[in-house]
Amino acid sequence: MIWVSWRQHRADLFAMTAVMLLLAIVLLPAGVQMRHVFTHTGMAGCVPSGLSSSACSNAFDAFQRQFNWFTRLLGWMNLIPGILGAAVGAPLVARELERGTLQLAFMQSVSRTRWILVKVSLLAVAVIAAAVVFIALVTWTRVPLDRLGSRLDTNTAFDFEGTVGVGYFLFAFALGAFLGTVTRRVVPALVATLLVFVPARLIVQSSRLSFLPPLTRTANASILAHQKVGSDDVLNVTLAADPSRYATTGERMHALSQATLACPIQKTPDLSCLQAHGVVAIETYVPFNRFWELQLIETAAFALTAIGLLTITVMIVRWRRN
Amino acid sequence: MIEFRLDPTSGVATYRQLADQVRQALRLGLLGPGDQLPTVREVVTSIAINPNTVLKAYRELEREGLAVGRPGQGTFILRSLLSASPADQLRMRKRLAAWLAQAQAAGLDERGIRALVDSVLDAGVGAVEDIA
Amino acid sequence: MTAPTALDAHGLGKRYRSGWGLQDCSFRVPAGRVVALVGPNGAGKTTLLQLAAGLISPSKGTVRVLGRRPDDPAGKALPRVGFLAQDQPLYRNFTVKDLLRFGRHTNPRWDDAAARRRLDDLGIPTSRKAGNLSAGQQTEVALSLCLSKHAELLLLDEPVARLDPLARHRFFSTLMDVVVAEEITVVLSSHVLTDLERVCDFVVILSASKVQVAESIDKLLADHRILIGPRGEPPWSSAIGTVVRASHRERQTTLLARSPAPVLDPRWDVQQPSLEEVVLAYLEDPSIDAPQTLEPLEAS
Repeated sequence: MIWVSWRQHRADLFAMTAVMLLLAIVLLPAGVQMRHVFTHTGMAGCVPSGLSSSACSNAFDAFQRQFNWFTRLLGWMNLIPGILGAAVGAPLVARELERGTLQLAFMQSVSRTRWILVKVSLLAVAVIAAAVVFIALVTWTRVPLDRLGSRLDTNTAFDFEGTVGVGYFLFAFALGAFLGTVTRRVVPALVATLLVFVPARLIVQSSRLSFLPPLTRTANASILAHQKVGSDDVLNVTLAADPSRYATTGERMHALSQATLACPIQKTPDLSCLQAHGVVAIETYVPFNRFWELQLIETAAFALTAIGLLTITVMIVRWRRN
Repeated sequence: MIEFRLDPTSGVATYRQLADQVRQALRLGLLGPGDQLPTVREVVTSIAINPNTVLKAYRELEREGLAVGRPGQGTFILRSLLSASPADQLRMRKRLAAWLAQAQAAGLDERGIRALVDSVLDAGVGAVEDIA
Repeated sequence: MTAPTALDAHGLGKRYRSGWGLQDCSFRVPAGRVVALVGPNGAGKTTLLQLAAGLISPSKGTVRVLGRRPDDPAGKALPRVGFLAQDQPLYRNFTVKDLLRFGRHTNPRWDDAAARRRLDDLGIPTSRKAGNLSAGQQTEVALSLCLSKHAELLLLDEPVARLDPLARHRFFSTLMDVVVAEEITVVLSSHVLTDLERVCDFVVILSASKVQVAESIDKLLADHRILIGPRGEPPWSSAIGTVVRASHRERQTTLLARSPAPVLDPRWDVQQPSLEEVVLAYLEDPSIDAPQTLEPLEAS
């Protein structure tokens, strides 16, 4: 049965391999180049000090400009798990339905359950393998960027590193298989899968940092310095009047309004100006070491949904006779 | 061994056609006592008919005492329908061919010849000689 | 022990969104027969075959193949039933060799040597992709898949519709060879009555989604007569049996009547009808049916 599933889907698996090869051809040279620039412009030395020197700042900005194309590419690459998963999942049952070969398969002596389970398992393993390769490629390429930025960054970092990629691939695959079984046609199932996949990803993306309640802290100079080459993801900054200097609410409000006018927040709050007005900056943030917790939550959400969809697909194939 | 043909347009039931062909072969001396008839499988593979049809034909031949089925071996011819010896048959065949050539030269077409033969057969061979 | 009944339908019905594809069908096919399934398009022939194969499930009634449900959860029916769909679907990208391997991997009772021999005899190259074979060759390969799993019941849905005469002959030749060698039961649907008359010994007439006739061909022809006589009107004398079809000319009436006993009425000229005449007569009037005389089941 394994041979049969493999033979039926080997074109799909070859296509997935080809896409991964293509990705490698694009990403590996970029990664090499990034590392080269990183070491040769002395950015490696900048990282621990937090870009407090203007030389580091300039180098950092130049680096970001040079590899802006890569960051934009990453944005589009978010679609790859969806497209590949759907491309392997949608034809799983639908192609045989369209071509009438499902009848041929069902009239052999192997039970429907076994037939679909072997198929789904084989392709799920292949999809997971592709996900792992995908994650490895992008993570390796991103190493210099990771040292300069946060792994929590939405759309360009968090979505590619860790384990969520496996969840995305599996989800798209399961969705494709399910919709293919229900619509009985490959192309509509493929399209429908993407129409569900993209919004689902966007919704989860925009709310992921609040899966766990964010923390708060008072901003000080060292924190701000580290933020540039940061790590923690700052959600927002609010100003608060120092209660030790102002006793009444009225005084505090007055201080706040003065501070807001006098110290406009550009990239980061101007601590010395704020301090002169007796005001502090409170950051609401997500610490960078929450990376793995958030990864596991998101991976589990997508993977469990995928398993649910695949289970329903197997049940439909097993029981539907009309 | 005899090779069967099927004429689907003749209106004659298939099993009867097969039995007739065996009888015809017996009359012409192409089959004789002890010869084996094709197995059901051989017939069915060559002319794609239902096996029961072959069985029916062979059963009819058995009933007439022309053939007998031996379990595990096949169906065999029991007796001959040969009226004339093969040498006689060959001689009559040659004379018939010659006569046919003459009849055609005289202007008779196939239908005319068949009508002539039928009428002489019906009247009885002796009757014609009386006329002559 | 072979089941004496190959196919047993009881009140079988199937409903689709557009209406009933099959209604209240009851009939029994003894094992070892080659059954002709005839009827107009849309009468439910494909539905009946798919129900027997277990590809669809009935809305009403039951069907048993070789004594079991077609969708037998214990999996005892599937290996013994073969189905050839109307368009003979095959994996077009698979080579013939791949298809044989497919058969081997999905059927425990697969006879690979017989399959290869059969395809060799027919001159079908094993390295060619199924999609590149001719229609006749594809049908032969699809048939081979059914035969090589040693199915005891074959359900063939218009298997020769797209075939040229030579391919048709080869198909029936292969089929009849297997019928003799393995005593299987075959149910095949077709529009070409002359083919069916040669090859079948049992007929099921399906018309307007109902079974009109389910009878061995010999018995059907023995029980029906063509009666030609002077122009007349119903009601007919009971001595001539049940009239299936009546047609009139100015001074002559021709009847097709069913009666188990010979008709001795001197007013009628009695003739033997062909299978085609009987089938057409029943198809013309879907409201008539011939009650099935079920052969007694053999003692095991």
